[in-house]
Amino acid sequence: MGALTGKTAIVGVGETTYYRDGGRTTLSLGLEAISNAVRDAGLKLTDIDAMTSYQGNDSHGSNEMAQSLGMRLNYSLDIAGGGSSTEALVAHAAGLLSGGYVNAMVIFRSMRGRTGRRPGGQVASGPAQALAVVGHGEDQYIGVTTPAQRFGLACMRYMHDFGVTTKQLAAVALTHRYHATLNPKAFFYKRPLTMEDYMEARWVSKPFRLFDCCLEMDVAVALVLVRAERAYDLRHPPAFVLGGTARTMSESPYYNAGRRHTPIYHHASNWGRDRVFGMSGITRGDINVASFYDAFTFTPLVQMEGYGFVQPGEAGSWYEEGRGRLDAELPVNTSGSHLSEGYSHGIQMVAEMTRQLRGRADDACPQWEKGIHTFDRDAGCRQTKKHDVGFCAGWGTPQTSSSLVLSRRSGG
Amino acid sequence: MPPKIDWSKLSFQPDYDAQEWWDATKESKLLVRSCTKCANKWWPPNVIGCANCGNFQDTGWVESKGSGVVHSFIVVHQPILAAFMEAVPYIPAIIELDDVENSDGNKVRLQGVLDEDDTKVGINARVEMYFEQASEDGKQVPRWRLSAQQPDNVWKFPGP
Repeated sequence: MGALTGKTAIVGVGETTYYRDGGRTTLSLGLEAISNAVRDAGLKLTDIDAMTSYQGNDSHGSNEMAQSLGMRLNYSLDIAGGGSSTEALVAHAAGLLSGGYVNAMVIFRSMRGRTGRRPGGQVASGPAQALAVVGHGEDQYIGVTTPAQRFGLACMRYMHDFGVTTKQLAAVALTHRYHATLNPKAFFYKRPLTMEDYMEARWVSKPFRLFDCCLEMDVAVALVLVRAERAYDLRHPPAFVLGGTARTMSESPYYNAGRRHTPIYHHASNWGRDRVFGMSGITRGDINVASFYDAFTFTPLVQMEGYGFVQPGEAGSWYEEGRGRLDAELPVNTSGSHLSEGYSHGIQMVAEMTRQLRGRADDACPQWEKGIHTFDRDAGCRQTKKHDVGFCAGWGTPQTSSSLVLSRRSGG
Repeated sequence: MPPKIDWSKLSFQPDYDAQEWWDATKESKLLVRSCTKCANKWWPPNVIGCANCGNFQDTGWVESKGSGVVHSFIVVHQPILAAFMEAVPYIPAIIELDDVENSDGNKVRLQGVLDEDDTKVGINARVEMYFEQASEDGKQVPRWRLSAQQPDNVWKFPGP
């Protein structure tokens, strides 16, 4: 196992409402999420001595958050990073905490993903004037700038190579939506999706229809980490960090500018999987609950395959057979996540995993806060029955990935 | 009919690394990055370093005739950029060039917008390039259309 295995834990999680209509700044959103996460941990704001965040030049930073909350930090860092940054910052926190460099770290992401600058450059006021750039995935001169467009090119080839069907893409949307119907925080709480709804929805960029795409939102989410010995004394059962990968790269740059010509959908998880499971000292069979970054229905499929949960090309049928639903083989994306809870740039999935491992998923069960669940799905229970070990997979692009193994026990 | 792209809504002011590529389009030349120290070639133009040997200081160019095969494509229905508001639905594609290979013998891939509608376009379709003027100073953008002769194995998006 890795030198950092079990040395640190996520002890606090918090977020804001998922907003579609705006009205709040990233400062206001961030302050609420951070306050909620620190309170959830059972810590005082002044116990926090370190804070990190990721952003795309679209959010207030750690120092501004700390100043408004009366914190004086000994360590702060705001990185430029997209999806897969959460797990990378957890790895970074594990190192700093374990080394004694800091004592209690907040990680947050605050964004106006709906009413501010949206992925692809669109702003709320309408289409953007743009600089014509050739390459690096920012190909304005051919009208390819958004994630739906860029990842759609990879998805189309993936469907061609393996015979993946639109019904299999739909199965991802329906599975995650089912879980969102059990999550009071989710945009689609109590609102299921049918195959007919999916098929009748408008095209965004073929192969993606509307419900293949995540829900852009104004939202902030925060996590709190401390060293293991302190974690036991706090409010909830800790979620120990066993291992992970931090923005691991594939060897194929965007659309294979490089020497190797691996498939364009070949995800960086193929390069990270031995590292994460080796470091964590677990096998895939030990994992009870998982989440795969679902910016689109396509992205969980190639991550599941890349991390070796199924063979290449098989994830679509895996979803179609219902094997990712609650009470099935491996419940995935139990909050509804990006497709049906709301898009947070990845961090919400780590918050949800922490709640699942605690046995305290916030659902319709009257005593969920005490860890008492009915497991009656028809009555709105979202808690997984087995929740010893959880796996989170972050997605940057097909060429960048992060992952995280969390456990109720510090030894796996 | 080719989709109407309003080039006046894009700003053609390339950075230093892409300047030579755009200048060549004024002479209707489609250039691909080529390493002067090894046999490697690659896309896109603004990636200046050779992934095969690490050379990044004097990479050169080769000219492509501009024909190839569709490797993948999408059909954009929801436009984002102002230049493409009247172009939807349009079809960006990844194209494998016939005449440029990298150091492993793989066809170099680039991207372009295809003229036809998606009832005709598919993976493996043969395509060829033509230039369209895009800026007042004569910069041109490569556009792509289906070749007259098509193979039997063109893969169309599966319904529904």
